Amino acid sequence: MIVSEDFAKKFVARYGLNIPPGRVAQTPDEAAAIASELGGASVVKALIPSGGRGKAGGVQVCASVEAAREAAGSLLGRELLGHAVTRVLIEKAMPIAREMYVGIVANSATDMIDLIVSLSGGVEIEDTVQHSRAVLHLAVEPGNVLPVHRVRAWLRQANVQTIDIPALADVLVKLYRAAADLDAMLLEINPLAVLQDGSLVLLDCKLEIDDNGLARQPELAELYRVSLSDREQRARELGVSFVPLDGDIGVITSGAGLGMGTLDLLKQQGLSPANFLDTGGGISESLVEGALELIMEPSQVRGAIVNLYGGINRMLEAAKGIVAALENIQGNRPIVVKILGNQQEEAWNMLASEPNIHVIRVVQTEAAVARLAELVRN
Amino acid sequence: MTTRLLDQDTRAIVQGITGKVGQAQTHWMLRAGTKLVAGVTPGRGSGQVEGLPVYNTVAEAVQNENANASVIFVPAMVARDAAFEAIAAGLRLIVIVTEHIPIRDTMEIKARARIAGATVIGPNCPGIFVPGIGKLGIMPTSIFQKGNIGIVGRSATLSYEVIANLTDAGLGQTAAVGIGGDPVVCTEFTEVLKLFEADPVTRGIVLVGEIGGSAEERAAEFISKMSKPVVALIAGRAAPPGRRFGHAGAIIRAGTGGAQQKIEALCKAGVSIANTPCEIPILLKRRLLGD
Repeated sequence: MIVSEDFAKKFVARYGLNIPPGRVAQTPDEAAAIASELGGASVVKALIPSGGRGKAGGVQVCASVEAAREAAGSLLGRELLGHAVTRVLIEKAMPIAREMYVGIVANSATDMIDLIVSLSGGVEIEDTVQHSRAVLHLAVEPGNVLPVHRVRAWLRQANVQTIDIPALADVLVKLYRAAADLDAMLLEINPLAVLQDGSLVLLDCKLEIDDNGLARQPELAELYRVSLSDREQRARELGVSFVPLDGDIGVITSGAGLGMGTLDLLKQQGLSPANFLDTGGGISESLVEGALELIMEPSQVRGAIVNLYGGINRMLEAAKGIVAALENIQGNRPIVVKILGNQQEEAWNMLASEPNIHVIRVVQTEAAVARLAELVRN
Repeated sequence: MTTRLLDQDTRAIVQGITGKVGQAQTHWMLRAGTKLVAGVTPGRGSGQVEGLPVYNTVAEAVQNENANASVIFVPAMVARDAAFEAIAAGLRLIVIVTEHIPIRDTMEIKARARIAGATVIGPNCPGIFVPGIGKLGIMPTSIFQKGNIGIVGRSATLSYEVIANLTDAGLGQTAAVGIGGDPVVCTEFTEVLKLFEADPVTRGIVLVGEIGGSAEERAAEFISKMSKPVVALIAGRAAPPGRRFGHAGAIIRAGTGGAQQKIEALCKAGVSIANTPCEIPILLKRRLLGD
């Protein structure tokens, strides 16, 4: 999950890091009122979960209260980088002497936590980080302890001269700890500003969280919950993984790899998936019922495949779930069912007489997909 | 199969044996012939589950039952501690079946295992199956047949379909290892491929990969130096970028993790690429006869 800038800043500020004064507005009038409170010059920023926002015009520096009102008016309601802008952050404009870049990255290719510092920040940092030798890089073993003396020694060794090393090391260690505590995959400050009085302030804050960490992050979990669409939320309550797609074939599988394999076979048959639903390991009657209703709900869905490898789960439960869902599914749309596992014969027998259900009794998903292709074309 | 993994000397414990899943899977692991010697659940160390003694700590199970391996079924939020306990008790092989473990926890487990010299498989994986020996994990026994093919895969259920296809085609297996679907896994393709390359019984290998990360590309580097034929299936060729497909690791982002670049890297390393699970036995037979 990408945490929006206002919340990300709120969380990291708890570690004693400086952020500019500011608040969120949802209307131009609110924006003007906040700019006025802040004393005139402000920065108006579109709150969207995406990088590249500055370049796309999502950050506007405003010299007056009226300019802030106009900037908010131009951003609110607009689509920016594929996201609708419904909130803007109004912050006090800071007297910047210099800008830097800092990133804390959980690197899944090296299994290390990378600290990345560039003494020149700004919107072109993606290019700088990839191409420049002016970028400092420290790989730290995973964990939540990074001694500040180690960071100071590293900065000294890198011959950092124009920045106060203890102050920068203090910020880096606090960011490192925040990233560890928040289960961050990425915590990026671009820019980290040095103000004219020498203090360090986080002008931006990009925070990407490991979704697996949400179970121990109650505040983040609540943000995540309210960010979901109605159908995504129902999927979460069912305990399944659900991805809406553009096509017209519903897909349920018991496992991610089998699901992706099924999508590939559908494509080879010229069929296009409307969604992807992975039941995970625990298959129950109510789960299958809810899952089937969910994937058949969009009216453009012409047919579906239910591809379950149940292992020790009782597949009769899955069959009962399918039968129960059929009562609430509209229209004569074919559903091809391939069920294997404990009680597979009982499941096949139960489904054999159901209208619109077509049971495949072999292990090959190819056979199920071919049958579905035949059915939706007739 | 002679490997450092599951073999006739393995004496395994089940961490989380008193949970619903742990108990049920213990039953099926025993039915598959696995040498399980105990269970561990903190605070529940008394009595028996499926005829196995239950201890409070891994150290007690090691001391009393001479255990040397573990399979972990504890909830995600306590899995790191369970793995740390197993590593600290000196176990050499640890399979973590649990899914939804935070990635940073997995990174810590991996770092600690490396220092201790323990092999950790997973997390979010179906484990290991060795026909004739047994299983640590949840792979269904019915699909296996003893033979000469090694299987290594990131996904569980797609690997099952591949294994069932092999068995149907008369190609039995030496072992199957599910390395897990998370962005960070403690044992990668390459380490398992090394075991298959060194194993005198294994004649051919099937790799079941998927979109996300660069594990297949890293595997390709090793495969280019292997003597045994490898056939691969990469799932997610039809998946659009930026979406996560069930597995936390199955996502194409910022130009990396796409199926096509994995397929190209594997092809270059001499791997035969199957377009469907059914093609795998055909390609493998061709390679076994040709090589």
